Amino acid sequence: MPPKDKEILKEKEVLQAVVVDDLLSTDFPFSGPKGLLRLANVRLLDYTLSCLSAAGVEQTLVYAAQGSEQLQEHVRASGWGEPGAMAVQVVACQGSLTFGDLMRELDARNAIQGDFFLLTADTVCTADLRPLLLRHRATCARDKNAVVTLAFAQAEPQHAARTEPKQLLLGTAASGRVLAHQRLDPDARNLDLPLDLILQGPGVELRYDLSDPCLAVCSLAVPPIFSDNFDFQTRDDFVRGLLLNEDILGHTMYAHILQDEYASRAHSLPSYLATSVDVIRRWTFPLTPDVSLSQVDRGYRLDVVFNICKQSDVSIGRSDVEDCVIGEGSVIGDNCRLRLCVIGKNCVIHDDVDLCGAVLWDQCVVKKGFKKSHFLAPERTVLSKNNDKSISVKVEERMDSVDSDTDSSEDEGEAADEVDEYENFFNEVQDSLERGFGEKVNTDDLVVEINSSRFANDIPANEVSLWVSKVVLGLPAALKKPPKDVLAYFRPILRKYVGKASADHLNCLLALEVSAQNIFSHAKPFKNNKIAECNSFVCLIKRMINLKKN
Amino acid sequence: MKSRMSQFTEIRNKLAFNIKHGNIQGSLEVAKATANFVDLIASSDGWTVASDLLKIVNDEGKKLTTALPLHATVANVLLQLMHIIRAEYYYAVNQSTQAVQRFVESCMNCEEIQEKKFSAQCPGLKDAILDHIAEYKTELDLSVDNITEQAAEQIQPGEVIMTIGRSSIVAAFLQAKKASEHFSDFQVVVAEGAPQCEGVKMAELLAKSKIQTTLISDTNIYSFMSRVTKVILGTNLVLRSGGLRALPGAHMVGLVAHEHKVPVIVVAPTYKFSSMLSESHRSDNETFNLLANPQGVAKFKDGIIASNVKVLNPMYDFVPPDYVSQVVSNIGTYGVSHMFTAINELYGAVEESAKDLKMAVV
Repeated sequence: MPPKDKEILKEKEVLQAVVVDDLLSTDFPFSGPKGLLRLANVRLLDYTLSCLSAAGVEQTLVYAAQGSEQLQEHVRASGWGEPGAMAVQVVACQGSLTFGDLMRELDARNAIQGDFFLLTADTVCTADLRPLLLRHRATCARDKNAVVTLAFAQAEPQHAARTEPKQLLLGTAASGRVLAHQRLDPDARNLDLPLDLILQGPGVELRYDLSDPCLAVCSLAVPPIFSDNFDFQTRDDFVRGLLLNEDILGHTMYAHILQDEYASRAHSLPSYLATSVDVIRRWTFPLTPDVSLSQVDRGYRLDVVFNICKQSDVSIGRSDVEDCVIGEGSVIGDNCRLRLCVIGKNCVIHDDVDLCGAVLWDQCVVKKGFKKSHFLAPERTVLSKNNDKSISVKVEERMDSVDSDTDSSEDEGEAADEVDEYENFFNEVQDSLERGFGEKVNTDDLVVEINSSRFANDIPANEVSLWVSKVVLGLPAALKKPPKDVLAYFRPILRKYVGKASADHLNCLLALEVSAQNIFSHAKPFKNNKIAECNSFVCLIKRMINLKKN
Repeated sequence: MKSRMSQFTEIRNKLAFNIKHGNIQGSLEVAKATANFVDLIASSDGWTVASDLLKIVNDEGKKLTTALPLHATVANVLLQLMHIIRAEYYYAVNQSTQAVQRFVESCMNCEEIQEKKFSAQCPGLKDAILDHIAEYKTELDLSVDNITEQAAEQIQPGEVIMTIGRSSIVAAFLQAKKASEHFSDFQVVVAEGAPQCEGVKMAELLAKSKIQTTLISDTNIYSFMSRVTKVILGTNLVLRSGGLRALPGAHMVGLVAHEHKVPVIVVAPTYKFSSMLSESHRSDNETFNLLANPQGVAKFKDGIIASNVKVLNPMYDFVPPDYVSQVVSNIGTYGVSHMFTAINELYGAVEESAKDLKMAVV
């Protein structure tokens, strides 16, 4: 590596990075700046600064939308910015709220001297950023219009890290130039791509297996672009804007896909929980609490057997605790089951608690018998069965394999329709037979009605007998007339639909079973007379046998 | 005082920066850089009595090891130099070699040491300490040569030697043997050492020196062991008990060698000798093993694995002293049962050095 570093520093410029600390999502019950949000008990800013420091960045500028004094205090207390180490400067930007606003502030202050890394405060990245920088420099040397190199991490479509509802579709040319960048609606079945995209030349790639950690290397031309376009609020706006205006302004973007390296964001509750789990599962090593990420939150030691990363003074009772991060002073009772949890300092967890995928901030109390998965409990909450102030996070089950992805969604749609169709048919036939019995309509006409209903709802031939039998057998209860008369009246209909085929017989038996259950469960009129129930059932069977004989 | 603190701070931060980024590569270079750092502190004007110096080295050492938790060599060198400072003080106070001898030998007796406050004024102490540190640095410079000199006696012609993973000192050891005699044909079997698979690089290194090399996967270690005459291992640390903290797979190699009655020789310079007694006995802040990034074992982009499967990738392996026959170091070859005494000479008694530094040592 030393020779390549000399290459980077040839022009005697200071390697800079900009960390954008924009507004935290309101889902989080946290009033401070985003950089001070705790991820696995360590501040998010520490992860970002560690990643940059490892890349050899010499000066980091943290642009904070709010809470800059707190950030400054944290930077000082942690020992970031000491002489000889990376310089960290926190810049307060009053009145700036979004990513775009903070970038405009950056442009106004003219603090950038050359290529710089651009991250958000919630980026957690273990990748070595130096190859990314080298690639950007090489690209800029080749293509004078190249402005930014975006970094993406790989994550298959069913990956837990893909927490956003709208996933990214990226189109790149063979050189890595970004040709398309869209966020796809999960329900959308169609995709619009401009044709000239495909006609760019050989080697065009369309990738749907990427996640966006909001990490990029930008050149000097990027901050002015934000100033020129006042409507750029998020990074996505920026990317889309550049793509749209490519012909006019001529700026190009390039994409770099990280191989075998971890990068993700913790900006929304689901992604925060997913990233916490990644830290616990060691995917973010060496950015983990026990490898002294931060000078302030120190003293974590890893119990290798059970993967428990805990500070001093933690007492765990006779519990089943595995894959957890536990802050100091916390007490865990007996008979608990904790999996993939982050527990802050001085928490008290009583006996018989079952938690999975939970994040508890400092000084929480969990009462006995509490059981929940996938939630965030803010500081000083008391969680009990009756009084649950935690914030749940919906986590989808991702146990399906990738291949059955498309099939299952189609089946679901069809199944929903099928159920409706059968129900429709059932209801229609029931209505017509009830009316028929009441008005003494000819059974042939009723058969016509049933047939039309059957074709309207597209019922397959082998299932008609089942549903018709169900209707007929349920009629005595529905009409509140004795079964003898009802069945005798509808005998021709049954005869027509329950023919000689054994499948029909089976269907009929099934219908009998179902209606018998219904009779017994809904036998309110006969509540006081169980014998009458049995009698009516026996009567039904006798009728069926008689019908068969005929 | 404050300005001097910040002077060391800058140097310390630069040192940590360089070691972390790989500008200083290899454990030997790291050891030398740390020794230079302590030399700098000792030659500065910031101290008059030994206790001051010990305190400064302690404080700076604490911060340095906190910044570099994955480099055990740094902690080892710091502790060894602190012991040297104490020994020099003791000599300066008592002015007799017998007393120093007693000090070194009676390292088990830590009550004596606890009574010593190291606060007496001794003229010439500074020079003595600086001389001793210079000696230590020379020893470091010559460590590779001192080890490779012993290669000729350790390896006989016609031997089949097994090793696992990549160790630069073992490579140097084997290359020295190859170069020493005209007709030393010996073979080396290298196990790849998954998941890092550094064994592949080791095989390349050895092949460049025209050593007959075979590369095998870890699963074949058992089947190859019947043909092996000697196992030579590199290690991360040698513990006081004679056990090792080595790369994953080393325990397996030791176990299989033990079963086949194949001697296991560990090549380790003194800066790899650790004051840790064994894997279970550790002071408040030491951790024996860590779980590293599972990326070597499974890929994060595989969604099923990443969300549902616990992937373990331990950083180190413990090799019990029973599996080790000899330790070849720059201060001589030791049988494993002599390691305890040898390490006591470097660090002082177990309790004494455990109180030192009080830092997060990995």
